[in-house]
Amino acid sequence: MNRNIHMLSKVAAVLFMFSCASYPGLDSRLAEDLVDITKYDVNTAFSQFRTFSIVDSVTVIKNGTDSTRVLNPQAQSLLAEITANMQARGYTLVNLKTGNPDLGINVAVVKVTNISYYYPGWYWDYYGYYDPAYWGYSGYGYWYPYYPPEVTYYNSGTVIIDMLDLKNAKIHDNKLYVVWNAYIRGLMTGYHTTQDILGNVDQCFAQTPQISAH
Amino acid sequence: MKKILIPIILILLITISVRAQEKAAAGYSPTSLYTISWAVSLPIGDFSNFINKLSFGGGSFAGRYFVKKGLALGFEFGWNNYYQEYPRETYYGSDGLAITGIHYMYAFIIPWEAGAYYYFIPSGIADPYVGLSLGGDYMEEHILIQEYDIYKTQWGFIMSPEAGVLFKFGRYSHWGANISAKYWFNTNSFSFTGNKTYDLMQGLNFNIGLCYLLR
Repeated sequence: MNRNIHMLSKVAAVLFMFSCASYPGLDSRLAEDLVDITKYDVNTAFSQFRTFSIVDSVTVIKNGTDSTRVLNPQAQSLLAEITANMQARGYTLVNLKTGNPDLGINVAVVKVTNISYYYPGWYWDYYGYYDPAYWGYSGYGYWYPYYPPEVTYYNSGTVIIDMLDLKNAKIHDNKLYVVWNAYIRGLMTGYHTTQDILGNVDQCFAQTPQISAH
Repeated sequence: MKKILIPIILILLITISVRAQEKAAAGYSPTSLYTISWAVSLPIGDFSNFINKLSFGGGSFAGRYFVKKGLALGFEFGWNNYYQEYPRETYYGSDGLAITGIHYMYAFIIPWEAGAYYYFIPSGIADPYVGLSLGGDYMEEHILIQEYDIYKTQWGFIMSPEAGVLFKFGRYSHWGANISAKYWFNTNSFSFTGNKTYDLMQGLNFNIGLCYLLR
């Protein structure tokens, strides 16, 4: 009888190991190529905004103190694609100094390999990132008015677009609200043409139809 | 095609075994039996909106006790994993989140059931049977996208009619094999995004098991 129970339990153990379905682990999921993650503030009515302005170059955040601002052809086309998408949604591009924009758009590219985990908004204080003073709000801080998107791993390379509510800054208690976030992740996981990345910029807007001046 | 083929094979096996029994000399009738099975499961109905791939990750353990000739009461618990990968598509959360990437759908079910079963030829080498089990189940459904694990856990009611054949390895052997087909449905409902929604979860399980029989 004991031998029989042993036999059954061995069969059960083998069966259990054999029958456990597996799915890709976190590392393998994170290594996926060009993924678009966006989150918008559900309490913000995007139709209240009419005008926007965008940073004049792209902040590239690298390991250590190598961060810089670039305006090479690739950065130019990235800014142009974001601008074109905003205009397609009915917003008018205006000069930051003279146009009093309702929305501001920050753009950064993260290429770090030395650290893999970050807390939300970690890059706001990074060298080279455009701070609230650039937008005319010295002494302010960036702020998520919603639970921030859970984007915690950056070592595969990420484009980050933050949309800022400048229109209501004065009533937000020294905070510049980030009302939309977009992350294009996986820049360093494979070979990508500029066109691939611009296609993903379009996808970020496509999956946020709420961004509209109408 | 698979859906049709397997019940047909099962019915043929039952017919062949019943015919064989007509001539066979009687062996012993077990008083109880325990079965460990490997369960292959096919999601059907609304469930296949979520995952439509055959699950090879499953199993069950069952005990059955004969209360009178041919009639057994018993218990069964099992598990099944279902998994499917969807190429790049967009998930929309209710909190403003949207993610475009590969979606890994994963479901896990653990049913606990009690049932009644009727064995047609308890003393035969091959003994076809039918039965009905009722019980509860625990279930998890996940969509895994990057570091996001969007999931739901729930308890439900499950019911499963079953037909199968028990083959003894010898006329007086304590060991045997069990094959069966089982349709099941539970009351779990599910709604994530797009068409990945179901109100009634259903599946078709095919079990192959090793049996230990007691006289």
